[in-house]
Amino acid sequence: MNVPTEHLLILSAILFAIGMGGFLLRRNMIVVLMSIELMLNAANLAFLAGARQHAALAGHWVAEGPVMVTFVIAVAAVEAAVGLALVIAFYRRKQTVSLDRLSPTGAASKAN
Amino acid sequence: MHFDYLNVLVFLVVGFLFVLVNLAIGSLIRPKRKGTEGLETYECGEETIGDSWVQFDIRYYTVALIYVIFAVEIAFLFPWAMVLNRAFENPEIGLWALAKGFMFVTILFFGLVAVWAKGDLDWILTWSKEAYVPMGKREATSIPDLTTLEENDGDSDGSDPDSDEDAA
Amino acid sequence: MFALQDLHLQGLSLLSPELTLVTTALVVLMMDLIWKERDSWRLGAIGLVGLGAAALQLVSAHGTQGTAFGLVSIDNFGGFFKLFTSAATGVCIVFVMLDRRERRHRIGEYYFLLLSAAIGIFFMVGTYNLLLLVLGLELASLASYSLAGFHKGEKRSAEAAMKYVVFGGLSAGVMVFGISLLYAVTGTLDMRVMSGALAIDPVGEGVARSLAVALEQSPGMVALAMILILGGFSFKISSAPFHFWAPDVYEGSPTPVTTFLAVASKAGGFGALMRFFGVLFVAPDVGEMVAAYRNEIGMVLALVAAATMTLGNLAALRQTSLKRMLAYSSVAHAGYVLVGVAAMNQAGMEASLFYLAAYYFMNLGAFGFLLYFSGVTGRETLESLRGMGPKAPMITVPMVIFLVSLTGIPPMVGFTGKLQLLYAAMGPAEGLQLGWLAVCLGLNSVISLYYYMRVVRVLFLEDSDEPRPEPQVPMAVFLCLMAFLTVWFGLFFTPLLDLARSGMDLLT
Repeated sequence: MNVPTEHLLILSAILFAIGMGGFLLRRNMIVVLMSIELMLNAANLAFLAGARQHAALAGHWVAEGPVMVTFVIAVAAVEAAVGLALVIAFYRRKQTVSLDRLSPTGAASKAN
Repeated sequence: MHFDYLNVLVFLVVGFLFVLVNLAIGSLIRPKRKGTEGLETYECGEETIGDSWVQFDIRYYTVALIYVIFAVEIAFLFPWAMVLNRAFENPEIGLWALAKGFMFVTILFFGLVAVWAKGDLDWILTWSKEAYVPMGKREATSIPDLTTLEENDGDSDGSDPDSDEDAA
Repeated sequence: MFALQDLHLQGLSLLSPELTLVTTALVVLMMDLIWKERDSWRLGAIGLVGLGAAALQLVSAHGTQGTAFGLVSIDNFGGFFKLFTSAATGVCIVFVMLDRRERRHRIGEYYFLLLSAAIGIFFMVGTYNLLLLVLGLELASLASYSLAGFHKGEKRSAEAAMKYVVFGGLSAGVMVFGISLLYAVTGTLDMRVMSGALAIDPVGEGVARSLAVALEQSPGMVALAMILILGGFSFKISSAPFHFWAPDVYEGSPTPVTTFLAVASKAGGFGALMRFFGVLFVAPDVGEMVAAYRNEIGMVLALVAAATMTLGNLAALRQTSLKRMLAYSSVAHAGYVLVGVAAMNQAGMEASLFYLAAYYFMNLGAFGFLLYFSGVTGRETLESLRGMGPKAPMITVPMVIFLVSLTGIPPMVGFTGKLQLLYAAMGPAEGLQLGWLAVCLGLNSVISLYYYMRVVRVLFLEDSDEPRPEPQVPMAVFLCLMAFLTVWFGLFFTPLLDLARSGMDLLT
């Protein structure tokens, strides 16, 4: 069974949309960070789908796409690590991980 | 064409059916008794206290985060090790392949040294509200209590000996 | 065999500024462990020496063209932004050393993170390869997240970092997905191959298609990819619609970090954005199809620019905190710089480079002033500045010069910069009408006059019985120097203009 590239790209677009939806709708920071990971992994799928198609056209594997995927995985891991570290710092401060506890964006904060 | 994904569909249907059928059988044959015990997290065992967040020690996170960063190192070292043999045969790359791998590991090693020396790998931390002092012989910089910090958020910290020195 | 191996040495020698910075960062990290925080100024000095050495190498490499390992491109355009970044990071390190509110806890990591962010920007502006661009951008972003939350005990700092990491992660996801779509349709990650400037991909060996072909075959995918990538850049330069994180993060971060984000990080984002759109659309040999597409992109950028400067300026009008006002003002300035990019031709990009150079002097000065006064009074409100003008003239008179320059009044460098941008908007690429943007730019300057001059009024025309602020000689010297340069380059702007012009070797 050979899955056509379009289907893979559609699947990655769906994953990206789920990630975006999770980012916009969920208020738990851990879930928000997970949504971001999902978006990056949707991109990874698209990279591999593209690489596979170009490999089929070229007749041999092309390194660029898979290499990009490796680096995006590393970037995602480090981003998760930094994000979680900041969540811990925030949790210690506020005893919550809900984004609702952030002061609203754009509101003039108290002086001092 | 439309049946290309039939096996996926079958897999999904079987998966759903497995769960639903088992739940249905369970709900048919289990005794129905309503009580508060049934709603608890652990029906037999410790009573849960408080939020599940506080049950994890913060140290697990610190060590896990550091582990994650160094674990990803493998994602780069593994492909590198796989092609190393072929790289040696290529006169254009040769020993540079080995050298670059070592450069990569060396830079990460500096990171490990820093984390280690700062005490983030120590399991037993001296943790108090006033100061976060990692294990070891380093001198603690006095960090004010969180509550006082909030009150004079932004005020220059007069009690800190280091800040006077630069103000002069 | 040796000649071939020399290729690697050659690549490393081209990368010498980057290698210098990496070494410096590692030395700072290790020396921090050995000296144990007692001599924080020595760590800062190491950082400054490293940045100075990198800057010297950049200056001596001026005019060199080359590619290291097929990934890092050495050219004047990248050199301009690298020099900008190292100079701005150096000033930020000096700010950290002069910051009276800094508690000096884990200070070595502060310098290390600043240097790491600078390294990220170096790679981000110096490459045609989208892989390295993403990596550089992420390195700069990740270091910035930690820097924003550096005072983790402080509520605002923890919140700032949280917001920054959440929105930064979103923008990274959006941008990488956009790049993945672009890769799927073109089969390459190299911008020059996409634009058709290079026939063979220097890294991959696949069947790459140029953007023109991709536009013909799947225009929808290309459009989606462009919008997503622009969204990612938009976060980095804090332009609309991804500007809303900026005021909160700028306000919550320690002031030296705010300076870094508003000056170095923003310029880095512009460097990457200008290289991306410049090579794909503005380069002289793009085809007819791409040229038509260029005008659509230019229109989108123009709309973004207009929205950014208007939103930034209108929000700045209402602020009572000087730091927050400067944050919104820096959002508005991102809009000004975008005007030059939206013109989609060489003159426009030159104007943008010139304005960024002008922005360096006046904005670093304004943030230095903020750092000094928040250190003296412990507050960042406009109220706390009341009547301070005559009491500390060595600090406040330069600030007036910076504010005048930020507004764009002659004879300051900000005026010359804005004039360049106006010219750029009047004469954009063929088929693009940006006259309305020039009007918008003028109107926005008038709006900004109000809130910038309010600071001057509070400083000089109001009175209070606050005591005379305690002087800080190094800061006064720095501010006077910056003010002098702001005026000097406003009157004799040819050197800056030449620098901006030489930076445009990107498009030849």
